[in-house]
Amino acid sequence: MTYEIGKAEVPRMETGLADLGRFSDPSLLILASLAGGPKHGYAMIEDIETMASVRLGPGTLYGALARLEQRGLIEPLPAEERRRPYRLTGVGVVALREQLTSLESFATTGLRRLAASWG
Amino acid sequence: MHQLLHLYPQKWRTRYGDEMAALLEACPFTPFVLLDVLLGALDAHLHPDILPEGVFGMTKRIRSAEIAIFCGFVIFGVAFLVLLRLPDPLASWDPAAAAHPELNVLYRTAQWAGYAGLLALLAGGTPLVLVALKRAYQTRQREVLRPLAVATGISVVYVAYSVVVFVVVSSRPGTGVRPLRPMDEWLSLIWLLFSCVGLVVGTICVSLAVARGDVGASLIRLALIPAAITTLCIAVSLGATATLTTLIVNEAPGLMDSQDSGGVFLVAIVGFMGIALAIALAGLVRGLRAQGATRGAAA
Repeated sequence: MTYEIGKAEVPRMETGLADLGRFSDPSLLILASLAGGPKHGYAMIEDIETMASVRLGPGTLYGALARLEQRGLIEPLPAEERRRPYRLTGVGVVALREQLTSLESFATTGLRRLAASWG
Repeated sequence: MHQLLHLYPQKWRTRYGDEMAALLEACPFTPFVLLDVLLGALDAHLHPDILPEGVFGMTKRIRSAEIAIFCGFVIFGVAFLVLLRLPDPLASWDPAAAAHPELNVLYRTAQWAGYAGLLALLAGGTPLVLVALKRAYQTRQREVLRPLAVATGISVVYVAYSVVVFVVVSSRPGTGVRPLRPMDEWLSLIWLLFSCVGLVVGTICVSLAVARGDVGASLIRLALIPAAITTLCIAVSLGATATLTTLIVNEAPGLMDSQDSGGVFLVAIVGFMGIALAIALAGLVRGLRAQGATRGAAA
């Protein structure tokens, strides 16, 4: 699935996050958080808040985690007491890289147009 | 806050209940958290298909498949140990093997396939057991530590008893084959009973520990490769043993009566190996299907 910004076609969620609805953004945040290493739920919430100034609620976090796990983008590690860390899978790394690359391209295009039109 | 988790479906609580409860304990209770959990519970009811059955459940299936292959190999191992006695006594085996060199080729094939299967099993199974043990020790997982302790205890007592029997029997004066004394026969009978009971209990204990252990999904999936090799080795060994048995019946029937594991033993060996292969194959098919489903879910 793609959408257009003028002549630039930006791929949107081609790698497994496309149909996540309201969980698309939390999923991307979780993947980005796990890019720094395996984390359990609370550590992810704290990390995402530091990284993106967004605080995910427990329901949203686990809704997104379940979807990511179902798609094989993340996998659970052995539990530490009751807290279970998660980590990116190989597919998850590819998905995150594609997402971030398309976002980077989108941001570059937007900034270039902004600079050209508005100085 | 814990009570909120009861709003989630049972399957969801089984999978995420513990870790989500731990998270709720760490989070300060606010109206935002309450609303978020309520919406999460609603979402879980509306989308029951989002539960990662495809990956989490499939990993459990792969693990049970590997345990089945392990049990299959244990049965194969019993038959294999009897098969190793086939050339004994050499006095009648060597002339037959000289007249029919294919006997030796088939016997060696069955033998080395068995050893290769054992190596593959150890390569795949040892990391699973060690990781389960390490995690169980760190988290005081008694349901894993107990069966492993029982298996270790049985092994230690078995080895100690075997050494005692060996020392007692071999310390008698004289050389060559000596008639067994009544005490030797009792010691040997107890040793045989101990072997059977120890094998069954040990197999169950190790299987339970691996089934209950906290082992990563990657390691479980990876262990399916040596498990497949083990199954292949059982098949090769069975093929060689069955051909060997047919050859002995047709070309060297004298071995049926003269050898330690001749006659009815050879048929029993083939039968046991067949059962072992059936169990291992069933496990392998189940494991490969689950592996495929896991990849499908990841694709």
